[in-house]
Amino acid sequence: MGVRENFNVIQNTSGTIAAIGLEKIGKIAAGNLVTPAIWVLNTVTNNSTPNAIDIGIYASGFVSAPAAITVSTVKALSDDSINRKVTEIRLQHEAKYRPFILPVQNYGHNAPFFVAQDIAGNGGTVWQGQNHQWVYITDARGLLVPDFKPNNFRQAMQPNFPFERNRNNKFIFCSRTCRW
Amino acid sequence: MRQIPKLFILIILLSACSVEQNTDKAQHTDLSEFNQICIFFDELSEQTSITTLSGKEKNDFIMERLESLRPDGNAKLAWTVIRNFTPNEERYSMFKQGVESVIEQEWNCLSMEALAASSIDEAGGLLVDTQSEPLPSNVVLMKEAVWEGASEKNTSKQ
Repeated sequence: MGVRENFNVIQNTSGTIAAIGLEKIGKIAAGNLVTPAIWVLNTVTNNSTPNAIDIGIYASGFVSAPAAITVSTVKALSDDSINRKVTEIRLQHEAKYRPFILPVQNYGHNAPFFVAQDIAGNGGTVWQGQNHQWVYITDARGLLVPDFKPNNFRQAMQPNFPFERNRNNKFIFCSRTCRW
Repeated sequence: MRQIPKLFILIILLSACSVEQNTDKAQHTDLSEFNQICIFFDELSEQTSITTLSGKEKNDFIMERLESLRPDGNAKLAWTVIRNFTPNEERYSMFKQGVESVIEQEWNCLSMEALAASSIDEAGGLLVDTQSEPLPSNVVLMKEAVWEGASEKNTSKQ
């Protein structure tokens, strides 16, 4: 369970360690991201320190490498949190629907509440679980479902029935006043 | 040389601060643009012809000014999507909820509160008869949806 819940962090870390392994056997060139990790590893495990060549290779990425590691780790932590919450929401629905309940972060990169509205305007059903995660549902073909009835939500939105589209070809959607 | 691991950890910590700062900066940019939309509504409310403007004219007034905002920013998307929300009277509260979810503080705009419900293109709505008219190709009703035969989907924006 711990592995599953922290998959992205583990993957992020293991990816770096794998890269270290590859570099040590000469399969790839030293990279900015990997090199400082090797230094730390070597210093801790072998008490060895980098030589002038190591420093030369690292110089160009001195600032960017730690930043990249930090950003990717923060992203991995965020992804794990989203995955955990989506799983909680999926478990509150029939098994056949679960694989097709997806985080709105899969759909767009804006703030989740606005992406949720965008999905509803495009014809989908979106809802916010009690854990505050916004999700939407597609069928197995990836089509948005405008008349799905979600369970146990804080807030939900879907096209208003009877369906009506605006001049911009978007669906008129509702929330509190929908027929839930 | 023995200081390198410490230095590396220090840079990691500094980078973490930088990530935090970038988040704050993005929030600040969003807030600035949400406030800009409020200013558009202030300007709209100050129009001498405000009492005679139609819903479409008021909507057009705002939409024209939205073009000055970042095309992929939260503020522009927020007003663009809320135009399709019903009932009109709840548009402001929905917009406000969205803004506050982004900036993580209370936000108000009196002029928008007064005008959001009436700033609509009344002629825009077109009823879609699902009996005779097909839904868009990216949409399917529950009764026609397929729930088997595919693994987990990750659909992207249509």
